[in-house]
Amino acid sequence: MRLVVVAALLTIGVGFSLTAGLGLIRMPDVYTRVHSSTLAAVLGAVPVFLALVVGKGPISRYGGESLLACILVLVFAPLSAHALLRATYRGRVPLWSGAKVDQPRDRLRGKDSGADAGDEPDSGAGPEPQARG
Amino acid sequence: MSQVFLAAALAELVLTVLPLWRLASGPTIGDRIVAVNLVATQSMLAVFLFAAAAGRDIYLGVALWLASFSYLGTMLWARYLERGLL
Repeated sequence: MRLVVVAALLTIGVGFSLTAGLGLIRMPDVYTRVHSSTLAAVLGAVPVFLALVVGKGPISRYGGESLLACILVLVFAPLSAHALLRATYRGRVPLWSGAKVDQPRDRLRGKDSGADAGDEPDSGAGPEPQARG
Repeated sequence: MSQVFLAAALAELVLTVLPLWRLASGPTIGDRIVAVNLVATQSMLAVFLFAAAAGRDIYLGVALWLASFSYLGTMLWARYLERGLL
């Protein structure tokens, strides 16, 4: 019974890892690539950790360190993806040509020297202060 | 049970080929960084599964190191790309 549960969880995890790799290859844009690969990587990592917890027991070293790594992945994967995409967007990497909306353009690009980027004096935004229109 | 873990570890290692292809041919630097991140995540899962399959819990330290420091490396790369300094 435990073997069936472990095999099912591992199948789900490997399937989501396959989805992450396919999204990383097939998506047209760096933003969509980061989106699909990070989301599916987290969704593929969590069932594998759950399979280790179920298969080896939650008290053993495997189960405990799996839970610790699960918390690490759940916290740091969205954080690092957000930081990377923010840096990429500020580096003027263009969106996919079929993209319809560009929501963070006004907030990040328009008023670059506003309250959003207060702690960097050399952000290359030019000397005009708060000339929003 | 250990054969199942070994098969899943080998599957994760085979799936590492897809982000490695994106790492070789990424148009921008962000593609390469996220490909390295995905390679680190999948190899971390493979090390966890291989430790469970081989029954050697001393390998778990390697997997925890990968899990923590790969995301830290991605954040450092993002900070470097955004500000030009670490």
